[in-house]
Amino acid sequence: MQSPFTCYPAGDLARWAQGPCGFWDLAGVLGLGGTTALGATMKGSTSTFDREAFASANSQGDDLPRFTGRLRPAVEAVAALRWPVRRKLLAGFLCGASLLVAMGVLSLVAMDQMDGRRTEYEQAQQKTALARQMLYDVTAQSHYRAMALTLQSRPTLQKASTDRELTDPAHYEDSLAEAREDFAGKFDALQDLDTEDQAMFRGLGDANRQYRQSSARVSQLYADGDWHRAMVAHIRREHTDSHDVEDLLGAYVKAAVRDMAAAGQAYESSNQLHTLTVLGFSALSVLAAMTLGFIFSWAFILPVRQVQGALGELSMGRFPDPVVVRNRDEFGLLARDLNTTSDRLQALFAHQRDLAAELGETNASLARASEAKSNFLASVSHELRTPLNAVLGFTEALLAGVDGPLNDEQKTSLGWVQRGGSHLLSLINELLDMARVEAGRLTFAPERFSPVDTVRSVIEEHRPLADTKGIGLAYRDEGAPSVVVHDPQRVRQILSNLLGNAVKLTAVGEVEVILSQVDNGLRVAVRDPGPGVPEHEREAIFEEFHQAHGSEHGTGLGLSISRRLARAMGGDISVESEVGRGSTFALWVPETYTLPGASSHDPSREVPELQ
Amino acid sequence: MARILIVDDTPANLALAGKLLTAAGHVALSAGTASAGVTLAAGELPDLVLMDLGLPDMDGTRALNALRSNPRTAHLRIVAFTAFAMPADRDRALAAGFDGFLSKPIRFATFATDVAGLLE
Repeated sequence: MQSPFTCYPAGDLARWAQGPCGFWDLAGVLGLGGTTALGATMKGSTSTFDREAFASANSQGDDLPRFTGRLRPAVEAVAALRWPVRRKLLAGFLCGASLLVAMGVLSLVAMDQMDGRRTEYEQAQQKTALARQMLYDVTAQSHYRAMALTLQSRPTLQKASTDRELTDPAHYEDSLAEAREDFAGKFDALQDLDTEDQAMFRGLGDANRQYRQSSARVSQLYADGDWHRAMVAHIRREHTDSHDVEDLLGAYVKAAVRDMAAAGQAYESSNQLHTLTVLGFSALSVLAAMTLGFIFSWAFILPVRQVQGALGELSMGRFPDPVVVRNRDEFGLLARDLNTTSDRLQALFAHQRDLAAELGETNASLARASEAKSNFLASVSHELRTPLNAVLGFTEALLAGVDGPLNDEQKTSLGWVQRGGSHLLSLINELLDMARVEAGRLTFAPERFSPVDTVRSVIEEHRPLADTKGIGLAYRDEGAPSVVVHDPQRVRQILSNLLGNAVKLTAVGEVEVILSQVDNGLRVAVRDPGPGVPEHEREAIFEEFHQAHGSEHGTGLGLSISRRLARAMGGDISVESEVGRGSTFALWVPETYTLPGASSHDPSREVPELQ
Repeated sequence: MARILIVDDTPANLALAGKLLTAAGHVALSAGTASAGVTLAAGELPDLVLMDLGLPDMDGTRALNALRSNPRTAHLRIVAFTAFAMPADRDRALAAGFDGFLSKPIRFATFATDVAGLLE
């Protein structure tokens, strides 16, 4: 019945579940789409939450969202991992974090590579610039040489300007030497910069040395004042040597410019490549993080939904099928506990239903037994009454002298027979009434009558006994309804019982009957100055066979029957009492008897006017 | 002075009723079963029949119908004599065709006057 996934030793899981839960907070980080639904659920639970609306807006049970079915194996694998939830969440977080780290490393590598490309390009730029400046230095040397020789050969030109620097051949000699030194410095710098083109630098160095030698010779001749030979040497040697250097440098510059362009292009293309790579990897990382988040979230959402669905069924009073989840974590425990709880509830429910059925049967058989008892009592009472009536009838006839005159002794004896028989008859009548009450066979013959007349008549019935005992019987009308609709015999029976008890229990003083109208009904209170009823007995005296004051007369049924009759008429009997000062028993009935279950406007219940 | 037939299966009731009626100056006839009562009524044609309703051999109402269906006894004054004393029982008896209703038990104080009332 239970899934194998939900059956494992509880000890391990309990230990997992109790561990520190610092990573629970990370659920939000990893939750993505999944936790928003959960969040909605939780928010909802704090306010009035419409279960049906929520359920219909969210697919329930074991379904993943649309288009994500392919991820089910992964989701189930995470669920089936035998790890506690916090460890699963930690693992999910670490996966996401490692993606971030990888992305960072890739970016660093790309930046480093681009830095290299940029350096290459900048070096090419520098080489080109240096070579061009060197080319200028060579040209400048030729220019200074030409100026110095020209000024020397044409002395008149030395007056062409007042600026000494422009007309002094020695100045050009100095500038030439300066340019030569500049060239040498730059040549060293270039050689430091470019370590690859050694052959070219050797050629350039040789050509430069040649040039320096021929230039030194011209300078020597010039310094000796032999400017003519100096001019010749310049034209023959120095000039061509400078051209050799210029040609070599020109070729180098051309190559350097070509290299520079190539490096620039390489930098550009590598820039594009790396941008694309980083962007692509970022996109992939986001996708992977979302997938991870989805997988981990749904590994928890699915069991929660199933458990929630089953709990929903339970809350609506239906017993759900066992929840089968793949989770081997706290959610697995949750499902297992839910299944156990549901099973137990179901067993309890079934047990209770059986008990209720048994109880029903017991009740039915009890009712049958009670009915049989009541029937028996009723028929026995009836059978008892017939001969008793004969006893009473003949006694009365004898006392009346039907069979001839009796002496006093005989009359006294027959008087005892008559009183005993009457008492016996009233006991039997009470038993019969009780049996009828219990069998629900009380019948009422409601008619209009005057309650005042009935009360007076009952009082007169009891007056002989009251007179004998020497107690008073008073009557007071405080505004009773002039007419009520009830069975007068039943009202009389109740009042007779109450008044009879009062007279019986009163030794001295006065019993008072007070009629009034209370709550739209008739209230008849019988107040006696008798011993009173202790508080703990005030309900018990209405129970069957309970006899107050150890009374030697009566069945103990009188008050019980009276109250049942009163209640069957829609009223009640209440008692107020103070021990030692007397009691007041009050009958209250509505003005009009209503058949049980009948509407108050039932025309069939209408009672003819009292004649 | 009238001739009154009492039909009742309880001998004590027959005896008591007979004694009281005799004391009141009437002639009492008695029958212990319904069939005996029907036969006796046809022979004697009494002024009043007190018919118990719960007779063992025949229901009082059927005995009444038997008397009513015989032309000799159809006009007799027949009264239901029963312990079923509720107003509904009285109505049912009158509806069945009885001329009156006399409730049991027999009380000495009222029996003679009740019978006198039924004879009028």
